[in-house]
Amino acid sequence: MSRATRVQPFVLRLGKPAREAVSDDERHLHRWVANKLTRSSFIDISRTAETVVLAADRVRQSPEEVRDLIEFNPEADEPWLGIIDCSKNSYLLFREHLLLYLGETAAMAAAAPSRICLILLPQLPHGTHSIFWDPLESMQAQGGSVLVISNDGITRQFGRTVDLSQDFSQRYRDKYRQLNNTMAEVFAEKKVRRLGHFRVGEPGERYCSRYFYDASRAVQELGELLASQVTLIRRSNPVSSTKMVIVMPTSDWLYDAALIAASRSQLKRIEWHIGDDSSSNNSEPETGIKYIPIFDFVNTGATAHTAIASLKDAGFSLSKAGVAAFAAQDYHVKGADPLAIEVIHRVKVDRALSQDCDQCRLGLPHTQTDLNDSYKLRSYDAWEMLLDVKWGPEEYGPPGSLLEEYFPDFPTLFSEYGDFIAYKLERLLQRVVSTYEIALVCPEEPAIEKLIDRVQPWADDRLVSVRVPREVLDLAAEARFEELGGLDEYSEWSRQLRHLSERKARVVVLDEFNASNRTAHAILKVLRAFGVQPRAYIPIFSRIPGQVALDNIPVMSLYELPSPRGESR
Amino acid sequence: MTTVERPIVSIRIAGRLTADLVDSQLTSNRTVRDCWSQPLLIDLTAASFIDIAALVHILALLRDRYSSSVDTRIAIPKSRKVRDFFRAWNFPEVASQVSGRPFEDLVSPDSLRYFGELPQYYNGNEASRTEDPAAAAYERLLQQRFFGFHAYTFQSPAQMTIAVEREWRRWRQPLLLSVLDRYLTAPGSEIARVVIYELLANAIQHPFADQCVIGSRIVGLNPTSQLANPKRQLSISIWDDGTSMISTIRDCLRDSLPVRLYSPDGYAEADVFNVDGFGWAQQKSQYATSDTPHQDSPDEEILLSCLFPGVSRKAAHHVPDIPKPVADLSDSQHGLGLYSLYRSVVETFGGTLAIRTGSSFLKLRKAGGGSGRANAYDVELKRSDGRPLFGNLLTVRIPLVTSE
Repeated sequence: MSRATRVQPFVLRLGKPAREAVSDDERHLHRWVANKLTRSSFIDISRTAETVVLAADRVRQSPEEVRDLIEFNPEADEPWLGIIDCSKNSYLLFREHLLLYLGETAAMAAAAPSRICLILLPQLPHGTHSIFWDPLESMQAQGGSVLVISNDGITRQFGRTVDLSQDFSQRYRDKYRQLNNTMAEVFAEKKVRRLGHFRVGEPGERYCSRYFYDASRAVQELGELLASQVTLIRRSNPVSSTKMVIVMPTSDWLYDAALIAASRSQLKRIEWHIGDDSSSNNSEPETGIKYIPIFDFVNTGATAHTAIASLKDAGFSLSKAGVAAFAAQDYHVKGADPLAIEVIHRVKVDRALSQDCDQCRLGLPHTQTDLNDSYKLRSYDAWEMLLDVKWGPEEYGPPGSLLEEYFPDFPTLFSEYGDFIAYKLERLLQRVVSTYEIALVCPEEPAIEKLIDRVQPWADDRLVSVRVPREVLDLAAEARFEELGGLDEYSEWSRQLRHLSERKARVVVLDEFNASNRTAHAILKVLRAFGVQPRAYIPIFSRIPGQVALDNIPVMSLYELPSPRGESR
Repeated sequence: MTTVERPIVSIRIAGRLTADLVDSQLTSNRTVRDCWSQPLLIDLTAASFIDIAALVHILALLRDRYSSSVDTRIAIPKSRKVRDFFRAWNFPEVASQVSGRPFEDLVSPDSLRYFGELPQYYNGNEASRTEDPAAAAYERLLQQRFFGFHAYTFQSPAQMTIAVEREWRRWRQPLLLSVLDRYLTAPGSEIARVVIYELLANAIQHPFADQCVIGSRIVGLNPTSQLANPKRQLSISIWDDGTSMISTIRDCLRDSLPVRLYSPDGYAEADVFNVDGFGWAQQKSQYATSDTPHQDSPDEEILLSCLFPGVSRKAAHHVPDIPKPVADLSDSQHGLGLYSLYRSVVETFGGTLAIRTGSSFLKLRKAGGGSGRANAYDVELKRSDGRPLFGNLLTVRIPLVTSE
């Protein structure tokens, strides 16, 4: 009976301030790839609790530290598989030095014939000139094996040859995609639905929209999605030459994404202006060319129809379909429509003619889409969000007697409006710290964690959340410092705080709602006990307006409500 | 008591102002060296073109002269187009930052009439005029003033991290990557990952460096022209005001401290450099990355050795005679930064790397006869006898593809 293969995975995250728990998806990938590569009847996979991290300044100053982080310990002659999983990092974070040390670590670990070491990378470094390959290419065929696998399944192997099935690359790629977000999902996560008072439509048919969909943080993803759609459309009409036509005016992010898509698809593109003075600059159509119109947002379809009609009137031969980045959920192509429109992402809309618009009646100015707005929420938006969710007894928070009887359902609020609040939060975080390598300390409550998840895609996934259990916060008021610092020392939150303190990392405290400063005082006391100095305390909503500091820590909230909790109860 | 006015030294540089021309006629100019304490006028009125690296030389000179409190002025080019490039590249702001003087105090009296002029560049319609999406993307970047100068100051490790991160982040923008992917011979992301990163990481770790300026431009890309310009290239120059990299190694050697952290012999074969020297006593014509400089090595050999993997002042456990800088003392690059840089610039992208520091100049390019894994390079190594250049100036030039 063959021995079990011992599998030791390490998940390495770069540019993060602290460690985090390894996810189930990561464990699943490790188990899957270990099964594919070993000949043993079974594998014995170490349950690694946490990722290992190397902060950005360490990548720069002392990349050799990565060797100490990957604590492989294969024993002589045992079947062993080591995994260095770097797949979730942005490729751009990999300094050449760091890659060299990873290569060396893998080569050394895989010295014996019974050993395999995997390095999982987001993409493979340059095949000839990256120094990453130097230690690997020196490996002997009689020793062990190192395999380097990119997220796309591209695999290179060194040392002793490992038999891989012919479809290994394809299957790895599929498995990785299954466990991670697709491009469309990433786009949906990274786009923002901004709340405001937006003027849309053409002159003669102006109305007000409650939402504005902003894809400026997802230009790369949109570019790739547009390229895919355009490719599908071209395939349906293979004999024609094709050009892209960007219908103007359009959002800057659509313009940039369309250029990226056209470049990737090797398509030329023109602009087609409707409804303004620039239409006099419109090009003449070329014969033998099919044009694919590209739109940023299709709402009622009226503007799209006008554009398509004007293109046809001008003699342009259009492809079977156009593409829109966003379209209203209630927009559907009808039989009489001149062109089908493929939609990347369907969204909810809330529009009214100006004469029927509540915000116009209130005299609220229109929101400018192209200006950097403040991190503060407008009252109108804050209250719409608050009143859009159920109110009921506060389900979690300070000790029972202090829970509110009537309180908004923040988990639902942050689920529904999380992208917009995250957008505002990000603007605030940029004022407080200049990098995404931040630890966000918060009470271990479901709502705020949803919010952090929303900011992550914009932050290259470099934020770390430190969730302090409610029991610890409740103890904090009465506990002595020494007690707090030694509490629960093997827990994740406690280990993370010690790590943050040692590294003097950038820390911000985040909370969903501050009513009485009780939770705030507790968290700040816990942080002080661990020697962590936060840059700011940020309650998304606060009932203590005008408070600018607490225990000498700056306080900033997105929205303040003047209604103190307390004596009247 | 009468004040004796010192006569102004005027240096006129006309025509196409390349980095080499400005270096030879200005920074390496003996008159400038010998008349250092006299006011200097840099006459650029007849400039028809100016390379961004040439302006970096001028910035280094401004910094040097103003730290000696010597008046230095620039006569602004008469050519409207060149003046517009100055503005588009943010040169006035950066010159002011580097010298510590308002820009009005850095120009000749005649040049003041150009202040308040409305720039005529990038009226925003250029992108519309071309059907080529990469060319249109390039025009968008010009409109957004992506290229030109960016200056960073750093007096703490946190500021260093931010400087590196900010500039590196700029080079990751999707629109820029799509342009680089189209016009370079390798993925554009390698520029951010290796070239930009290592240029900055190198600059900020020089002792006493507390500011750096990085300038970039694409030359010869005219989207509306049907002709492909064979000289089109991406130029990136970085200058820092720290101690010369030659001096830091020289000081270790003087005190018999080690400068080699590790030997690269374990892996790849050594890279080989065919050196063409000028103005210094060159002992041999070929060097290799396995060489290590010694106490008697001329400055130019030391400069070349800065590129070798494993050579670093951090091989010594302390750096003698140099008080601990406020900045990043814990940096231990292991001497791989410049090695990674030239491998990427020269091998991956087919470009050149030039370094100007002290009285030395180095230019590295691929040798025609390189084969296999042992990479071979041709190197110009020159010594000038003007005043040593203040700080360290590195310039990377990467050719753009010419086939459509």
